[in-house]
Amino acid sequence: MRCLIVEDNEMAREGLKYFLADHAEIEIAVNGREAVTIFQRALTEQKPFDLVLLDIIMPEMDGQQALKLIRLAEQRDLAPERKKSIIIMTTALNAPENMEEALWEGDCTDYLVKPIVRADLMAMLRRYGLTH
Amino acid sequence: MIEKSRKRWRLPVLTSLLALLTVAAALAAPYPGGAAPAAEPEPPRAERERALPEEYREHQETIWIIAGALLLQSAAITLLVKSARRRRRADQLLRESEERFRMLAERSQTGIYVVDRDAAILYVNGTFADIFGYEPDELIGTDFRALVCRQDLTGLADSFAGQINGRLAPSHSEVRGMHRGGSPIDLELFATLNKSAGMPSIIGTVLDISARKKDERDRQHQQQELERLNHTLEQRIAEEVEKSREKDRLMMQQSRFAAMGEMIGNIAHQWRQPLNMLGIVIQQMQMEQEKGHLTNEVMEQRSAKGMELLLYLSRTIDDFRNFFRPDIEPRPFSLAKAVAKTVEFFEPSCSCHGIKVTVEGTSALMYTGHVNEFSQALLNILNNARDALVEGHAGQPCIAIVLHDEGKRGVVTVRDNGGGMAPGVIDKIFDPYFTTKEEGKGTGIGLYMARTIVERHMQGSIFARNLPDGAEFTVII
Repeated sequence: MRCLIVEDNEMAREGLKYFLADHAEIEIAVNGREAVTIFQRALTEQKPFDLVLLDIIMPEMDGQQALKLIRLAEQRDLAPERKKSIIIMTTALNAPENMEEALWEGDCTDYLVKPIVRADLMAMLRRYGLTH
Repeated sequence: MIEKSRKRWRLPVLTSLLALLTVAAALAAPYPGGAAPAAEPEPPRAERERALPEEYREHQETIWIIAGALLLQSAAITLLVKSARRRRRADQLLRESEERFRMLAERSQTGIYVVDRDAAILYVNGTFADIFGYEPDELIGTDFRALVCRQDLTGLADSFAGQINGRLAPSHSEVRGMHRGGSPIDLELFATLNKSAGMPSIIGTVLDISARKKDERDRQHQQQELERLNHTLEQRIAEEVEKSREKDRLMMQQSRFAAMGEMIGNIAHQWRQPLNMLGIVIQQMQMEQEKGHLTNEVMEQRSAKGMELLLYLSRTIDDFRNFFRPDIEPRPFSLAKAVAKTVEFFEPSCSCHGIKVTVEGTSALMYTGHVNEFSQALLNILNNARDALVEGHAGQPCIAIVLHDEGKRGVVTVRDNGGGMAPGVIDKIFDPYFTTKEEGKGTGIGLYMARTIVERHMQGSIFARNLPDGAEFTVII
């Protein structure tokens, strides 16, 4: 499994990387703009990501905008036989339910509210068939 | 008039003529001793008198006495006739007068009554009866006191008794009467003694003064109310001033609560990140322990990081509590530090919307006042700028806070590039409850409270203007 972790906070980034280290080949982006670039490059290289953990609040480009651009890139460049990436938004917002509509509109797969509990993350990955 | 004069003189004239005719007849009567002499040429008067026989001259005196008696008789008759006429005339005048007074009494708009010494009604006119809702005949013979309210009976009885016993001058009193329907009537009563009919009685008038009394009571009530208002005016002004202050306090509290609600959101957001990191540290330690990677060195690193996060969270709580704790006493505070602290609280609410917040310049001002009030005012201005940017979708949304000093005063300027305020809005933005936000999203008290705090509490000034790409608020203290 190939995973892209998009998180501006270093400690959170490293923690997620440690959580998934045994299950995925991991790449890191520190903001939305970098995430879109890495995702597009992976598509070009025919090595698309199976999972994207995408933080919402980030400098330069936030997670919502990055989500839209990533899905656009997928539509344009993803080979027809490949499945779309599982994109899980991570958020520290107080009321993520208020953002659900925007998230679903942006075609995210699911979301997790911080603080992230590893067991919840792994259960979500199992649900989407990414781990056993 | 002429006709009457003639009639007046006719009787005495006729009577006198009659007396003269009588005397003339006596003188012309035939000589008592024989027949009248034949007609001869009449001799002169002196000769005739000398020629009268002696017997005739003897009776002449008697004739004059008879004539005088006749004259007296006619004069007496004249006097008797005159007296009878005067009496008839007097009777007629009396009847006319009585008729006139009766009509006057019956048609008077004033109630008129006559009672005997026991207050039994002898006479009432129509108006009197109307006042009490009766017909005059129904009242004749009844007790006047039955028409008067119980509480006024003593006064009325004293008045009547005083009149009857001649102790009082014609009296005037105000009593409460009772209408036939049971409703009270205000009456003005006049009473005076009447002795003309032999038995003493009381004659008087009654006026229904209910309307006048009601007006008087109303006026009295109004007067009392006016006096009360005057008396309590000062107190009421003080109360109104206190109410106004209370309203301000309430609005201040509302504003504080609104800001607190927003800040709690910010704090919660600020907490989520460190909580997330703390959670990751703990879970990582567990994983490292499972994998055998948890060396002493790693354990120390993780513990130190965990404690750092915990202390950060604790500090955030203190900052939050201090920020919203009302200052009891004014204290000197640094304007620059107060701005920095406010921005520290405010900034997280902007970063999630991609809004850049910058602080430029500085101020050396040490202001003596309530720092938290100032922070709240500034926060309200900053929140307003942020909301404008969130709604406005500016390309590179930013809020620039600029500090500088002007003489002994400090100046804080907040600029945004959210497009500015619409025409007509700029004059109202500091009005209470004025908001351009959707219903439920804005209370309209943030900028009002900012102005209240700056102008009233800090004796400063606050104003706003539009810039080419946004709005600018300036606070001078």
